[in-house]
Amino acid sequence: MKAFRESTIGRSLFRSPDRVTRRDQAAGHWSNFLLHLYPVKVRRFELRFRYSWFLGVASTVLFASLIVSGIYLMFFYVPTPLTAYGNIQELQTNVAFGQFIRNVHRWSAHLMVLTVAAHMARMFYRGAYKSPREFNWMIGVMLLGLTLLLSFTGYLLPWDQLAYWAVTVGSAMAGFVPLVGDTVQETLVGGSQVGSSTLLRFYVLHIAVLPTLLVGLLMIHIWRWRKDSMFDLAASEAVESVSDMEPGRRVLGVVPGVPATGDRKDPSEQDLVMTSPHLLIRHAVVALGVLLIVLAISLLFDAPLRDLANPFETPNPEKAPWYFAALQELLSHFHPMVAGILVPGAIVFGLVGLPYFDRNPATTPSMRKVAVVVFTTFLVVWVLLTLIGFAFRGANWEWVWPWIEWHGEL
Amino acid sequence: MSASPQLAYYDLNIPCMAACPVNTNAGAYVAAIAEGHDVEAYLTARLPNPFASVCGRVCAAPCEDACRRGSIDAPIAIRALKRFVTEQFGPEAVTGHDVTSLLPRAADRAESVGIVGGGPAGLAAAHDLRRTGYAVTVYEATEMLGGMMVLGIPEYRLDRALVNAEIQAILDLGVEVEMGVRLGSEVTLEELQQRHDAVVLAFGATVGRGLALPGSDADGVIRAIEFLINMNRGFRVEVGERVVVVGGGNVAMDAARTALRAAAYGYDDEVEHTAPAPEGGHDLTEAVDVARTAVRAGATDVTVVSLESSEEMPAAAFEIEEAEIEGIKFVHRRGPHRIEVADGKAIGLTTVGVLSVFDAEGRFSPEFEFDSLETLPADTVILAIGQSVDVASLGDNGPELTPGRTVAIDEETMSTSLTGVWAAGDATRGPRNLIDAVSDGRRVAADIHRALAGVTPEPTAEGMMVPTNSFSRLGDLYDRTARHDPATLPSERRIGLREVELGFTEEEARSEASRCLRCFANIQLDVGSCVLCALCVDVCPFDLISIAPAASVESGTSGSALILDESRCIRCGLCIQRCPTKALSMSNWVGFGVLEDRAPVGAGVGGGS
Repeated sequence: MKAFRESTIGRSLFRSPDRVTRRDQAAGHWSNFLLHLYPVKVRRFELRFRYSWFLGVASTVLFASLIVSGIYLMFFYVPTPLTAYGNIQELQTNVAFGQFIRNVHRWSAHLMVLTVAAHMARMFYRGAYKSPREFNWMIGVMLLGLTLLLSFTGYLLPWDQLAYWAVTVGSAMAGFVPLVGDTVQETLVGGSQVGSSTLLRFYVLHIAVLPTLLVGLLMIHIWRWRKDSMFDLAASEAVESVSDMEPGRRVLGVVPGVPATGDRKDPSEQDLVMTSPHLLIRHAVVALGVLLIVLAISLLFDAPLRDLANPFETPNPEKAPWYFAALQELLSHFHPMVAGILVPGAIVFGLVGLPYFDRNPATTPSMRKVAVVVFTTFLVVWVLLTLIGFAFRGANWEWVWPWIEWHGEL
Repeated sequence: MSASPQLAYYDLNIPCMAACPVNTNAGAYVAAIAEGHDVEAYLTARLPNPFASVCGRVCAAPCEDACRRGSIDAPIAIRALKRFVTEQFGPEAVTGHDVTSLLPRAADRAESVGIVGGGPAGLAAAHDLRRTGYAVTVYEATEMLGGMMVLGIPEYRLDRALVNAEIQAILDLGVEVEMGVRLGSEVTLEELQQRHDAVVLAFGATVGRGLALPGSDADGVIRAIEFLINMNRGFRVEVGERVVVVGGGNVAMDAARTALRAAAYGYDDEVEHTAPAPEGGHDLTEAVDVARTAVRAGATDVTVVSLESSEEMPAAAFEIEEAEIEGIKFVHRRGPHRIEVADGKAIGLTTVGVLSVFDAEGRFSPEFEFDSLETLPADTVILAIGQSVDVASLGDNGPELTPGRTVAIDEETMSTSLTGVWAAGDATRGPRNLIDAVSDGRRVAADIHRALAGVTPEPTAEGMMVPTNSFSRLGDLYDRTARHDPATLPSERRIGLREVELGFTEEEARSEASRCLRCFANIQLDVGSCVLCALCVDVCPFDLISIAPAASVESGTSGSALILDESRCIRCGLCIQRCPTKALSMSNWVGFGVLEDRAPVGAGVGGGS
């Protein structure tokens, strides 16, 4: 390796020395394209599991696994009602690793919805949406929306009864939006009911439009994370060690303005560690752990494939995908105007606007009780509704104990 | 050519230069060596120091102690690098290029200056005064010039041909010398005052200190400085096989090592080997030198007894190490108590334990434990416990003295209480380093010029920032290169007076010089371009950049201050490369110590992209 580095090609490839000293580490990090979305240094406490639970990393890894497995599936799939279901059957029985790769894709998708939502919750409790990170939180909300849309559009593609009716129910919800609802539903579905146009549109959204948007937003999301972590390196308040200027400390200049935020400590007292390797190695471990879980689930459980989609045979119960189960449950209790429009609208509005409503600069939960109580209540209610809609409802949306009769579909 | 103007912040920020008594811009010449500009390096080293070549061999190198790299791993081997260029361009060089003609020289003047003492202080003063145009006469008591450089420093450390070449270069400027003229006997101070417009007293501290120990008047008890001086002048000094050197300084080391090498000193048996009147000395450094010299005098068993522990010993670490390699033994934390005598000859030294060497204020004030007596057998006891100034030679109308019996001077001007009489070197403050003596000599010369010509030398501290666009050390492995010391002779080949330390090869010199952090390079901020993005804070490998409210630096101000901790900055330049708005840049501080018509060094360092 050393000889290669010193060769003509090696020197053109690597612009900085191999990493021996701290300077080499910093230089190597900074001149490495793959690492440029990471800051060079992080504060040591950011390495701890409880700081982030590594949910953002987990979501990103799941997304990568979805891209890889999705590309494989695309080789064997034609998005028409005549071929789709057969392709999936063929894939499961006749293609090397077909069933397994489909399992990976399916379970990664469900897990990604979970990790993205959990990431958001963790960031809420850490107060990480506060200044200067307001907009990055908003991008996060958009990323959650894109994740749901990706999952939803992918749900239809197997063209079995499960897919067909879940999408029928899900897209019907869009129809409740006043004034534009019908137009939105028709544009999405491409007709009055789910059919070949729907399949094609969902396919294009699923493999091209939505992933591109998600990648773009994800880059901005990570880039802003890096920028903000740098602001943390600035001292926001007068720091004793700075005011007692030691010999050798030189003021390079006084710049008008202040950094967006800052830690209350001087960088030399912040216990900074090099991202590479300290944070990278943890991210690598998390990535491997997440993949291990996905692969294990995929080996143990096969993705479901029901009968061929049949517009004339409505299953009972007729269920939306699990992440819309809470909404479906609400619809069974309230007027569509409330359950289909007001509540989801309020949720989206609340999430997007959260950093702007919550002006309290404190980040410790005990200093922001109102926000914590409101959010926790919402979270608990939503999880309960999702569970009920997913597992406790049977035919005609009657209450059914799941251990007596199982109606949950993934 | 002022020797010590007020240093600006950026001068002080170059620790090697600030630590050097003559403010040699070591960083500049080390960087020049790294880039292969050896002539430039030599001139930078030579400009403030007429004894650059001697210093390249034996300087105590306060620059290395101050070197910022020392707080990271080990300081740059600055002294050995200086030797690398003086060997090429100094007076000892065989090439014969006289690059010193590039140094400034003024037209002759009418005034004359008499200098008492041809040691480093006197000759440095003579050099500067002669270059400024004065007629200079040096009065030397012995038959050789160089003072402690030739009388105190053993030959195995400093080649005599080199010293003579460097002295000859000074004499070639037109300096008159009167040999064998001792102040107080051949000439008096009053006569000199009448003969010259100014007189410089630079006759050193040449009287070895004795100890009022029982038995100290016995045969075989000698004072280190007298031992060294006599050995170096070619007189025979009898040492036995077992030598005990008392003292922990460099002179003790030199004496011990010299005693081992006695056979190599070419005795002139015709010359009576009685010790002539004492004349010349060096204190803190005395003990080590004595010990090292004693070994060379033919002794086989040389022991150094010091009050201090091995860590506390004032001798230079390398001298102790070399002495150990040569087989010299050390007894630490023992003080001399009495000299055992039989038939009028010393047969041993009885020592007592040492409780503490320094008092609470850090002053030398040893306390002994008198109930733990130990006796070391010895044929010769060499006392290397310091030297004093021969103040009697000044006569009855001499200048005022300090309580320590040295010549009292005004710290600013180096002038004595007598009008027209200045003093420099060990005569003023007792034994110190060679480079301190050179500094004294240069300061005296500057003040004499001020007094006689009414000219205040141009303050060369007026430095300037020279922006450099090509400072990149990305491809340079300077921060992981370990210090490389010059090779020394293997101990079995240390026969006689061969110089023990060898010079650097070119490859070694370039590599060692490349380790320099270049403290003369200063990161500059264009506040108008800075967007406070903190990328520099992030990329700094040692967390040295901080952004803090300006009010915490200066109350009442607004905005944000970008602060750099320069004490640990290695000038890797990553912050500059990372800066998206090019608000950060690098400039070289070209302060004094660099010839004006020389391009600033340090631009375009290293490869990388």
